[in-house]
Amino acid sequence: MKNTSMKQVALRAAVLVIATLANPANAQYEVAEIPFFNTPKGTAALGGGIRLGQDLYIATDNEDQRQYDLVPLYLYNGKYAFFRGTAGGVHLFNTDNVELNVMGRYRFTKLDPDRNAFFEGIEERKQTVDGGFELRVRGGWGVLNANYLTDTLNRHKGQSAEVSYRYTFDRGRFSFSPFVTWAWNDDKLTNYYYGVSENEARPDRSAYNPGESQWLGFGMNTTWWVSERIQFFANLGFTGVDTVVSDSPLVEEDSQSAFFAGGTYIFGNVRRPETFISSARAKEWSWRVNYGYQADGNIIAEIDHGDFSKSGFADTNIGGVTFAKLLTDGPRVDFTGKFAVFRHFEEDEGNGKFWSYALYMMATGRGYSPWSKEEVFRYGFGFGMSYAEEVPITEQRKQASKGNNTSRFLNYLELQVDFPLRRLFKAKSMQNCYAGVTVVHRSGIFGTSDLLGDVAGGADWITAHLECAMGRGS
Amino acid sequence: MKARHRLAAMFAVSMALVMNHAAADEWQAEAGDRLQERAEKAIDRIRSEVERSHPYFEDAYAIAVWPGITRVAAGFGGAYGKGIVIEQGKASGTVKYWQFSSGIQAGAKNFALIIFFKDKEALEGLKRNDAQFTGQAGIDVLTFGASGTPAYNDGVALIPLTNLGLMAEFSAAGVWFRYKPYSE
Repeated sequence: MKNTSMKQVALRAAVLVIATLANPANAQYEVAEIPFFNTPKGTAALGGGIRLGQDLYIATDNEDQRQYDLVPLYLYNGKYAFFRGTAGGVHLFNTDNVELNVMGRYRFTKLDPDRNAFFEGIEERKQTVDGGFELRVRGGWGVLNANYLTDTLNRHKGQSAEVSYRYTFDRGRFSFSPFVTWAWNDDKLTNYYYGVSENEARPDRSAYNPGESQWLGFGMNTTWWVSERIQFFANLGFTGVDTVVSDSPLVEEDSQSAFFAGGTYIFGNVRRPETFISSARAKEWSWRVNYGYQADGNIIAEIDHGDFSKSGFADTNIGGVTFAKLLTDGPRVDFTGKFAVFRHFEEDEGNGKFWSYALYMMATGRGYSPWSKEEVFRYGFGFGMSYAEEVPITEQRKQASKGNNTSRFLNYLELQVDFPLRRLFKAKSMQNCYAGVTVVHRSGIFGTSDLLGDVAGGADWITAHLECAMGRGS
Repeated sequence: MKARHRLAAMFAVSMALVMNHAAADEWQAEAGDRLQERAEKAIDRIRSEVERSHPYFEDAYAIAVWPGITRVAAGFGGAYGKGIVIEQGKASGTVKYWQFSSGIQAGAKNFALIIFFKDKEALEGLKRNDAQFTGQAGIDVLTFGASGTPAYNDGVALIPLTNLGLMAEFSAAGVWFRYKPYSE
């Protein structure tokens, strides 16, 4: 870990980018598709939804197979990269009608041996990140999407392919988008989740090797644009299960359904893309360095109310570099896309040094001198996602004290207050620089999100920062 | 001919200045309107006690005056007050002020506030009931108050004056205005 090169950091950052986005249930990916991929380049959005799903595994009478999960949505349609709520990746080729992407997405299927007594003695089947290629072709006739993915975390060690078609009916503020999808999972993937090995077999659970499987699904996604920037969606899908899967001793269902509903807020205006950003600031980006200590309080209602005490769980430090691109500027608030790389210094607590990465959106407001454009201070609030190579020691100890899960992937929040250095220094290099305080926060969403490992709680750091804007026009 | 043009230009500029500083100078509270009477007293008090307000009184296109906003905070805070808008020497409507804040803050206070609008465009934001984000830092003990309230955009200036309170604050806030013209 100590010798981790910048190249590895970049690679891991790319993996984070690819790995972070969630999907409800096996072969139900289209249900989680948010109608976001046709937006102008540079569009970003945040939102969330509740996913109601149903898995196939055997349940006891008092066990509800329907599962609900809170899914945070981070959406971005950029020139080079994209996040679509259920998938993320990089455009290799991107025109109005054809996209070829390197993409990844989270496979949510899992089987926990503690689920009920029937699964005692079964090895855990874990969720994973599938990565590969995607081809998306669209025209007046609809959208055809094909992908070929393989396991990137060495869990099921298999491969899958999927072809889907959807057609969207636009009715002003409403759109309806029916779809059909066919998916193929190879024998390794199918055996991992639905097979029973000789070691796991017992009289009521015979050994079983299903081989490859095919899944056929259909459904409908609906969208309601409440305003130019706010949309609600409700998506429903059904998937027929291959008999090789439904015949598994672990499975009692022969079809599955999924429902996903929520809302998103679009930064910028999809219907009037020219209002995204003023030309004077179109090329603006910024860098930031920060360093600080592990805090005791929570970012909301504690640190922001003046509790700057050091953590009682661990005495650790954090340092980071952040790059940001202005996405939209407004009369009240700017929205900025940010990518931060943090180095965690936890060797004194026995957790070594490691990296974490955060991808997030920040809303930044300003206070001005009266009747002038002269900034007095800035304040910002950021929301996004964080992936840590190791679970920070504070999170480990906090969660252990409550008997809860930990997760490398968590929600990310950030608060920032700073002051323009141009008020103190006349040097040209300082004219677009700011110094202040940044509060860094990682957490689950009160244990309600499967994507975030059902983690409740998290960790906070208070840091001092220096940030400079580049490419700012007059 | 040239001299005549110069004279005309000077007259136009003078008229513009005269027209412009009419935001509050020529205004008088309507007898019997309690809110306007309190607003008039608040204007007089701020004008006499806050010297830095003078250039804004001179040049503002319009002002909004809240004679008494009550703010209570303990970490999170809230504030409410009712005031009036005076545009070019005429009271044009009432305006409610709602605020939610979060930060390092504790206490309670009642204060007068004037927002000076540089031009018509700046006032339109208030009339549209736009939400605004702002920050505030200050300390208040009884009738003494020292505070910094940055403008929320480049067309406004905010000058508060403590009526009574015991409060310390360093917070960020969202403010909602609700404007109702007298013509309605």
